[in-house]
Amino acid sequence: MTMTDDPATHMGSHRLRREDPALLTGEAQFIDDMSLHGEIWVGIVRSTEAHATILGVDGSAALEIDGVTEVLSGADLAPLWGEGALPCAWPVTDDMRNPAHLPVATSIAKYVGDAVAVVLADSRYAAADGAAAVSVDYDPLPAVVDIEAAVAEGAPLVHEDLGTNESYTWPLIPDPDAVDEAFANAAVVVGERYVQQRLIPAPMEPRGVIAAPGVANGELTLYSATQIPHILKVMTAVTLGIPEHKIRVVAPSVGGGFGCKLNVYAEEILCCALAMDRGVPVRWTESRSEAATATIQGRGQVQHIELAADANGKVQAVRVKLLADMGAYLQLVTPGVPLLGGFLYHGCYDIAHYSFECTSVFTNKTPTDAYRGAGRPEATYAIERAMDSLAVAVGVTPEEIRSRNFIAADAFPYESCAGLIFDSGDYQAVLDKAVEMADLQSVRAEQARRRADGSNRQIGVGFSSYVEMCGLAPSRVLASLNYGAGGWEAATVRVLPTAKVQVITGSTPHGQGHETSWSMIVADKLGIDPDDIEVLHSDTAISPTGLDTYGSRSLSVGGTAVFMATDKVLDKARLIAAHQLEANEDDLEYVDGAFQVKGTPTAAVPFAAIAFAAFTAHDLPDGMEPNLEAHVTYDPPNFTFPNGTHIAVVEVDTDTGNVDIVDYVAVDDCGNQVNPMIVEGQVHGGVLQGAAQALYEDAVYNEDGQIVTVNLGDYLVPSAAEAPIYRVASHVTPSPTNPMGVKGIGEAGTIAATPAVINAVVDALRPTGVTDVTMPASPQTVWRAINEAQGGAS
Amino acid sequence: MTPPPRQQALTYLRALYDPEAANKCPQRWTWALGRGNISASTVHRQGRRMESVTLAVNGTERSLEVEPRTLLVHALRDELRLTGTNIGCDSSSCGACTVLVNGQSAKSCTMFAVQADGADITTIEGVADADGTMHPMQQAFHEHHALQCGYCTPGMVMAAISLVEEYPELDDQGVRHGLEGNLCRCTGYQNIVNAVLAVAGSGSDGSNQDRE
Ligand code: FES
Ligand code: FES
Repeated sequence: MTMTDDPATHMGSHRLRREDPALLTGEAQFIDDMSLHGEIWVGIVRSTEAHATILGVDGSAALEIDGVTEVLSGADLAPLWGEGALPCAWPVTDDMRNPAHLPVATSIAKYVGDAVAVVLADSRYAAADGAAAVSVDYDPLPAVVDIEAAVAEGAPLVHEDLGTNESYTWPLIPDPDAVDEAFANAAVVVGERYVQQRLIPAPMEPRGVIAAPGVANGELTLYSATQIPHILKVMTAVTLGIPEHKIRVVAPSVGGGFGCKLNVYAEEILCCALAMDRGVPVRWTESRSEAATATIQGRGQVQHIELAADANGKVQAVRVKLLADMGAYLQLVTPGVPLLGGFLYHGCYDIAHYSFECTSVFTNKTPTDAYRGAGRPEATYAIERAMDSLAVAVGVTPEEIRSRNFIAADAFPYESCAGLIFDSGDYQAVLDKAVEMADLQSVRAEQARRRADGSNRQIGVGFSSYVEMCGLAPSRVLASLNYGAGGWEAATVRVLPTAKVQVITGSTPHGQGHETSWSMIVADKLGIDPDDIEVLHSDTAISPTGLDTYGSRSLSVGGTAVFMATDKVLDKARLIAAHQLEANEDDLEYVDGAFQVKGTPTAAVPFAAIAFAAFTAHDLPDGMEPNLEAHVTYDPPNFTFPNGTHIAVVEVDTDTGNVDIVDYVAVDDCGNQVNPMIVEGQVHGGVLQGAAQALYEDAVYNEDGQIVTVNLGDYLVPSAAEAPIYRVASHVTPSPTNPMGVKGIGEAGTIAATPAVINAVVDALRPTGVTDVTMPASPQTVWRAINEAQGGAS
Repeated sequence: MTPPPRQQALTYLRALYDPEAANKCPQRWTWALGRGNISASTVHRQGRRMESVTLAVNGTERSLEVEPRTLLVHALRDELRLTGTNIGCDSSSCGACTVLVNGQSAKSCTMFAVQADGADITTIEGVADADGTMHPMQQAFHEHHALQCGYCTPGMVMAAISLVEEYPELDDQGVRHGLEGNLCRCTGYQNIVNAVLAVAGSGSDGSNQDRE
């Protein structure tokens, strides 16, 4: 399934995307492009206080504005949802504290951006004007902003009634004594503290919702810029008590998600409730500034990691204590995010003993939740930074410390100390390839020269070897983690009478190119042209069954379902062909889109003839149902484990603290590739998002809990001018877990890049005495680190 | 503050949208743009001051009535239903809304529709040939996989068209700095840069040289 010259084989080829033309010409419809007759607009009044009692909502000034028809406080709206709080689907422990999170706050606002009142209006401008004109009387309460402060004695409480700011503590310590013993006997111990700053996901399309009621029969159609129409349908039914069969959820073209559209948001529930109550379509479009606090944020952790190693740097045990910022409430999978990293703090290394414990705390800030990588970038950052520190302690190069600890290529399937079974990989081969591509020898020679010269442009090399768990996930494993749903995916392959094919997938693309890739999979199996295959998705009326797109699961779970459904179609087609050829089906082979008796191409039944025969049903085998269609729900037996090594080379201006990424090499093993062009694109974008955490992005709050980085002028999503040039390659070890041998690539770049870049910055600054740089490594931060290391004031 | 009960939905809608009722609305606008000369074309709709604006959009003259504070991007999207031009921010930072105004690329969220009165506007809907053949820049984006979710794409393509027109001798850094005002969260930009370079025809097409 790698690149091939055989034109009939589409898998493995750089096939251009069929999604592109509609997007390139402006024809594609995003949520805000839609318009429904009679729609009313919602404007949301958001708390300007991080923590405050709401004394009153005064809408009189707003009601003076033309076009504003109503102002509704949280109390006015409460009857619409009653007890229906926003759902959290991942109660990671039985005693997890999960305070009720209403779509609009009634008595206490818990974070800046918390909805406190709603304006209804006849236009988007009137809704915005109205929301701005509502005055809310607040009585401020003390706010908890910093997570370490949140768990300190006497800290103010985010939720007074809970009596604590802790939501849960989740340990994964298979053998505590062995860990203690390893640390007691270690020749070298490395202990580090890292801060994962909060990040704003910032897909270029903000969120948006239109809820359209069917008044006569109680139906509801919810259009939302979401990654998860299927999950959203279930959750809307549960939250508002609307019968699920009356709900249809449609995700139109969605302009990126990165995890932040993997949620059930207040605005979705609000618009649905209002639409059902009023009998008119109700819509809301998020502004970018609103998104800073109304949409979940990512990361937000303080990590303590310790490694116990022998004198050669072979690691025996890893011990991690994590403090994770939940924000003010638990959104859909907020509490599960640290767990997704919790299994991977030993990285791609063969480490015998494992200790991980996460305490998750509430703060008066926007809830956190899944953001590209979700837990795994944090874990990778900690282990990869710590491995570099270990290399320094032992006196070997970063590549050598990794080689000494890698899980060996012949050790797969490998049972990890955290209790996972890794599918396949050759981590050393991947690293060797990256080292070769980066031309490490000359880079290090240049580094040595500049160090000797005392140059103010120091060079640094940063490694990051990662492994992640993808293909979320085996349903039974999710059950053991208390996750509220399964991890399967559904697909239907429907052959039409004219031999055109519809593929219906339960995974929901928003930029990943599913239509192109799925058509390639089916085309190869059926021996037909990909253009004769339509891929349908993202509408629960068309694709009723699915679990959507997140966690790099689409290809390895959803794509596998498509692959298997196509097999099922072929099985039935084979029976029809055997019947027509009066042959035994075992004697048939499928060659170039036709069944023939093995070795006898003269008597062949082409696919089109079978499709038509299945439709007319004039002459099918006895007892066979007409039509040619198959449905598969695939529950993966295991996760998949993509891995790779990335190398960043940076140049740091020691006078100004400015960091430039001058080279970036990425070698990834995502198993077999259906479309390497799409794989590369995912790596490019992922790497930039990861590098952006390292160098630019930070959701900054002041001590009062006010967010400072509200818009894209303050929150530094990098432009082309900042982006490095990526040199990308792959190493393939097919995953034995699924029939295509695929693993997943959606998050790999983001997981790998952050530690690669910071390790490079620290490597560049080593002569100055710097051993750590906090993220983002802005010029100011880097300059201060240098100054501090040299004994100056910070 | 009491919501109208469900059975009143129809009455409620009529009041919102009935032009007869609308004409009787008080003329309550108090904010003004500070433009002294309210033209004779000023009308009022549902109590809002409206201005007539004429734009030549993608070669067709279009007249519309907008509030003076209506942004060009909203006039294009909401009034003319040309929804290809996207909105990604509220601080003129993202470039998703980029169109050509009199041949120059402009962020259509940074100007009022009234400021564009009489201007030639080209949006993404207007760059392909009449027969549907994509503009070379659109084609290059397609061939170089320079889009994923496609949300930044219309603005990026418009900015790139104008960049190449203005600076035909672009190199990699020129493209990167030229497109600094257009953010893309998906692609990491490399394929965008390669697409633009391919159209500019100066540098080589970097996409293969970067592949191993
Ligand atoms: S919407 Fe115009 S620059 Fe962002
Ligand atoms: S392609 Fe998604 S923002 Fe550019």
